[in-house]
Amino acid sequence: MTDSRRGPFADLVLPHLDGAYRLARGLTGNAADAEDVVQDACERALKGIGGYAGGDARAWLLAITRNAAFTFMARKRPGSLLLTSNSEEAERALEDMPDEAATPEASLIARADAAALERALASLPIPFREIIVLREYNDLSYREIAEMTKLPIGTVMSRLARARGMLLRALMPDRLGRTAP
Amino acid sequence: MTNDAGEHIDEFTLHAALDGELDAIATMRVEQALAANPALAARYEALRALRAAMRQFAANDRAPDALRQRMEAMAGDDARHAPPMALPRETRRWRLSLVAALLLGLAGGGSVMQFVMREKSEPTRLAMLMVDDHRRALLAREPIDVASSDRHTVKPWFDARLAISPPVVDLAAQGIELVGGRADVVEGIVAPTLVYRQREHLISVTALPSPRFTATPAALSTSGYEALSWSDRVFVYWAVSDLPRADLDAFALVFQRGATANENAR
Repeated sequence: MTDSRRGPFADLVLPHLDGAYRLARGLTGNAADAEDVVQDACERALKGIGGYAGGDARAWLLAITRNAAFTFMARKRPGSLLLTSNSEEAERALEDMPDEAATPEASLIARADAAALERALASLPIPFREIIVLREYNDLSYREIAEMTKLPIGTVMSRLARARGMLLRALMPDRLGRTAP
Repeated sequence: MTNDAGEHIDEFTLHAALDGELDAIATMRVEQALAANPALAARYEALRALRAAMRQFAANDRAPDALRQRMEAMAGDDARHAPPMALPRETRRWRLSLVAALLLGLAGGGSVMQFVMREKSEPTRLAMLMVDDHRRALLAREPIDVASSDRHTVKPWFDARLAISPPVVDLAAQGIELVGGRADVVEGIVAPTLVYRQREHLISVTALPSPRFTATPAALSTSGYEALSWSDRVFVYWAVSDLPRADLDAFALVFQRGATANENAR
């Protein structure tokens, strides 16, 4: 209703605010940081950093948000781009291919609460976390993820498979022992 | 894992099926394999449940109202009608000038913004980013994320966490000590950075993946720091230090020799 009076910022950015917020939440792992990141991303978007020149406004805002999240994490939590809450797990995951033995029952995963899921996601190293967040939280295709991250599509596929393998393992019954005996 | 026809369904294909990235024929093969193989089907169901759980989480997770209102205020400013939240005059003027720039940029099909962004040449702009990263690291409690003088520690550390690693050269014989490594962010790309110490001067060597970054041999000095760039087949390197120019040149030379020696030793 006020749309006709709004400028390009409103048309380009506001429709994709939820998507930007989800990406930021997935990357930083918490709501307060995600707000800071999205605020910064919107300011960057307003300044035109990222060089929007037509095309997919959502992909444009997500790319700006991704950059803002990386900058935020590099500044506010030095080392967090690399170090995970469980780096041993990360290293093992890097060596292994997805482990079919580590397959929890589907019904168990369906019962996993949001907090357990977010904890599992936060335990992934950033290169893996960002791929699965772009896929599941933002519903980007393999090709769109490859374009945004400048990775070959094969790398996107292998990181996505590994990310899911790591998440399944993190959600195995013995890990959930306290919440789902 | 094999299906009726004895075909192998690998893990990537399973994920691609889940993500709707397969064509009809490949999808049919996966369906056959799932029907014939309970273990594969269980794996697929678990993956599908994971995907559903994550999407459920995302669907419930919307930008908070306060954030949306702030951004709508920004958009209101953009359209030059009264913003819901009064902003200090200085801020508003600053924002309006940005809006003007954005509008010009859009009107010109992005060419104006392109010009603004490309005003500084690519190497100069990158050099300044590198110097900023180096200075930021010096201000941090530790200029490194992993402390080790052993290249056999630093290289796997990068491999494990960044999935890429630059050649880590041992320069102890030249009196240059490896201090450790850290991750910098350059234009949204996470870039491995090695930190060396020569006398009391720290040297940051950042490896940017080519061809994302173009290789342009360049040198520059700014705010008391020297920056120097070179490249090999895999990376564009930037070294930044408060060392005198000649010393940094010498460092770059021995680093390149060492990297080549590493390569040949493989």
